[in-house]
Amino acid sequence: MNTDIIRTESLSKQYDDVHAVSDLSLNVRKGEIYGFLGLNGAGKTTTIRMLLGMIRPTSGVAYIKGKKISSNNTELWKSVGSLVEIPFSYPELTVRENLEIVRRLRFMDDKKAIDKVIDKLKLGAYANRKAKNLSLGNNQRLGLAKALIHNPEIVLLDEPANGLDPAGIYEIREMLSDLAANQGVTIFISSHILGEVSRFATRIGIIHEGFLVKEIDANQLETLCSKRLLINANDLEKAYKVLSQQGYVLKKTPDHLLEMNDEFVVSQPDIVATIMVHASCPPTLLKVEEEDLESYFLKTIGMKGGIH
Amino acid sequence: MFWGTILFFMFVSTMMGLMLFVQLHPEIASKLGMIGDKASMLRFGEPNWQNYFKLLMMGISAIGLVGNGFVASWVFGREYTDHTVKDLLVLPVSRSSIVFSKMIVIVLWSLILSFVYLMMGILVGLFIDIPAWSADIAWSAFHTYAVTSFLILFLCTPLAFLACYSRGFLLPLGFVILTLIVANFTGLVGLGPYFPWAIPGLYATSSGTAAMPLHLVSYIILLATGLLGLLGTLAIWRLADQK
Repeated sequence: MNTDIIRTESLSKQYDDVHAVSDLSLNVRKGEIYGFLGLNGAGKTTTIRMLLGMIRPTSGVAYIKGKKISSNNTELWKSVGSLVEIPFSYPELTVRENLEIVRRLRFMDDKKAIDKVIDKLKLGAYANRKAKNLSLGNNQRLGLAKALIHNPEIVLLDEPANGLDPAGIYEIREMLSDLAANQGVTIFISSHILGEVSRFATRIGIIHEGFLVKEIDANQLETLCSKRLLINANDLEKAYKVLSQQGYVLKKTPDHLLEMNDEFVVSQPDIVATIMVHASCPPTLLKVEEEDLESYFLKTIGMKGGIH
Repeated sequence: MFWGTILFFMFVSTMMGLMLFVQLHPEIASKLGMIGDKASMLRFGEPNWQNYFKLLMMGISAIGLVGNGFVASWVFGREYTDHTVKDLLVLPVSRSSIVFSKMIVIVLWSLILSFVYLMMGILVGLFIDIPAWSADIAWSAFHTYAVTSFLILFLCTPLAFLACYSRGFLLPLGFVILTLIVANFTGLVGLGPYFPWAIPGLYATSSGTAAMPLHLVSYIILLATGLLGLLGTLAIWRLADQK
């Protein structure tokens, strides 16, 4: 039984000679939090707009709950909440009035839904403030409130942490994690910050120049980040010779250190220390360095800054 | 915005009343510093209710186009300038419903403005005691006024289309100004009955312009313009990429 809530098959979007999205095939299962990562202009927002029927794909097809996404299939949106790019609201209306409009447009009978979502997004102090007078962060919260007011089964969020302070980011992360874990909500979230998304996504897809270059389970991320051993000594050339003669592969780094990437050696740097001491060339620096997530991300998309 | 347009329409019809007031009381007007040329005023005829209604009719055919145009441009255009279109696109309602709902708002708003304009004009007329009131004249004028207002409604859809196409309201507002200029020009060269934006004005004053009578084809052109505007707006909402 197919439990894919969101599924795309070779989804592509081309504008003149620009391939915004190319041959994108992904699937998101019920209750998953799928982190969709990419640089600015990678195709994240275009993908989300296609998933919301705002843009027609050049080729390929996308499904939500097994139903094909199109501008005609508006019934789908009953169970979908979304936030696309910067959220905007009617500037002359207050937070409460903007949410009231959404409630009515969604034919929701429950008038208490507004208070509930205001509490959930910590907008209580700003409920009667006009949207034009909200800070960036509070506007973001209002956008999230509009996406969640109708308790959707599926949530598509485009960079939801924009403008939020660290406390706000933490709150949103906890809220989304709770929605997915305890209420089975399926979440598709795009971002360009791997470190942030990796904290709560269950699966991560990396998009670059319109192509999905990698998909990984978030719990595998740590094992995929590479480690290296950095070595320094008073006589670096001698250290290089000694270790090379022992059969180890070394590289010289731009900042005049020696680097070893062999997994076994990195896990047991004391072996290197022993060899160097016996050769009267003791190390002055012996450091295991783990690739950070940003470097891993940049390496994956083939950019400088990634550790190769 | 709604109350702003109401006040504006009230202001314009009050100004129409003021013109009659100047005609009725030239001595007061000159004391107030308004030096009116009575000869030029007399092109409206004597200051009575019949001619006052004609004046109001001329006013609505111009200001009605502007007001209707502004309303149509704003109702659709502001969703783009405020970037709230994307919230409408993810509602569980058909996009056609959204377009028709906004069109209904435009129609109701325009009708309210027309009503306010006429009522204010009548109130001002009663206040300044315009002579020769007649129920028959009033009823005939009301009928012409109602039809003129109705004809103007057909011209809101092309503006809605332009607002959606340009993703704002500057282009449609510019178009409104252009149509007013062209309507005047077509009137001068006798092509008014074939230019949609001149047709309501010609209907409003048709009893006095035998030189440019409206034909059945005029109404067909007006209807076709309205229909094309509506279809264009629907096409943008249903088919175009919403970036």
